[in-house]
Amino acid sequence: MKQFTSLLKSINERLDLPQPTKSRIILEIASDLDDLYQLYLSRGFSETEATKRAEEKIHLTDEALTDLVQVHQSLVKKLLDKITAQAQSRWERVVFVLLLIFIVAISIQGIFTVQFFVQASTWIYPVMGIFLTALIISSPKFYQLYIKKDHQVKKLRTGLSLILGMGVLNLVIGILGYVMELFLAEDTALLFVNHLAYIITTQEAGSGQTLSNITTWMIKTSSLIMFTLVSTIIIAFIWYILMNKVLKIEQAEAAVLLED
Amino acid sequence: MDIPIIEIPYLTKNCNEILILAVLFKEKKHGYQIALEIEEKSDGLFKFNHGTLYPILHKLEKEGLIKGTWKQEGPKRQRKYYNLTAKGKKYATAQLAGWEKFFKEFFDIVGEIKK
Repeated sequence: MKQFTSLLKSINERLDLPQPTKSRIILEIASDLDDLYQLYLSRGFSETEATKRAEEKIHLTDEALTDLVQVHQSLVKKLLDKITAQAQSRWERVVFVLLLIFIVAISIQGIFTVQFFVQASTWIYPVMGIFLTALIISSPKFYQLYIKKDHQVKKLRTGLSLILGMGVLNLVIGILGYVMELFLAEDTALLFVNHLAYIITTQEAGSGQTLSNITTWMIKTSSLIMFTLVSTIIIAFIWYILMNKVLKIEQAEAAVLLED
Repeated sequence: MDIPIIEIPYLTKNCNEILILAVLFKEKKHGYQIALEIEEKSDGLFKFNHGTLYPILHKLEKEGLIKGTWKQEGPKRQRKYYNLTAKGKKYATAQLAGWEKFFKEFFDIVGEIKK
């Protein structure tokens, strides 16, 4: 495939897309170029002529490249690729891992006590379920990328969106639980900050029950929100680390392809 | 089923799309095979430059009409095969009806030349 290196390099430079997408397009073109080259050789053309004809056939005009870029540029993907591509250096990754360890360490003391779960809203259980599911889903991916190291481009990104989706679902359920608890407190005073402040400062008749409701709600939901945020951050970090590894593998694959 | 209208300004685009979908209707193929089959079946009338093929394939894939899957072929070789999805089959069938209507109307008019 050496004979097509300059063409592939020029397409690579002209394609204004994130590296993983670009790599897959280059890989597809390279495979077709090779097929065409073999076809022309089998039809009796010389190596030089076969190369020339294959390149002519694959010729990607600026218009075609613009169309390709437009097809692949979705707003969400663009944003996600940007986020993961930002921390490519070793030091940046080390800082992120240290930050993760710090967050887990300061949270672990408060979270993993019986008292924490006894006080928490029952909404904490679906959040825990999602968190554990995300951890279970991530384990084989970690094994595949870091231990087995059996990298196949087509399988690299499998399951990553699901992990990210779990993180989003985790956060949504946690926030939903927070809001639901607010309504279940059966005290409309909770919904109006001004009224709440009035009750606390004046301590009028019947405000004792309201204050008790407020305290219960605060205890229940603070545990829920704390667990939701910490577990979402952990899921996000797991996704981030895996995505970074996938990006690095894809970039390495592209580099090998362009050197061959 | 509503018959889609083949609009004159998008004739080339619609033509390319239906040709690709037709070639993929029965079995999965990779980019090079698609272009070659269209060219050979049409005796070279529809010459498909791969440069135009990729944006169409990727667009159809994004729209869920075809699905691309990578297949490892040999130690250093990977190929992307495309196959038609259920949505794609439905879309292709509707497009075919649109083309039939288009050519019926077309020949109703230009057929006058023969009469």
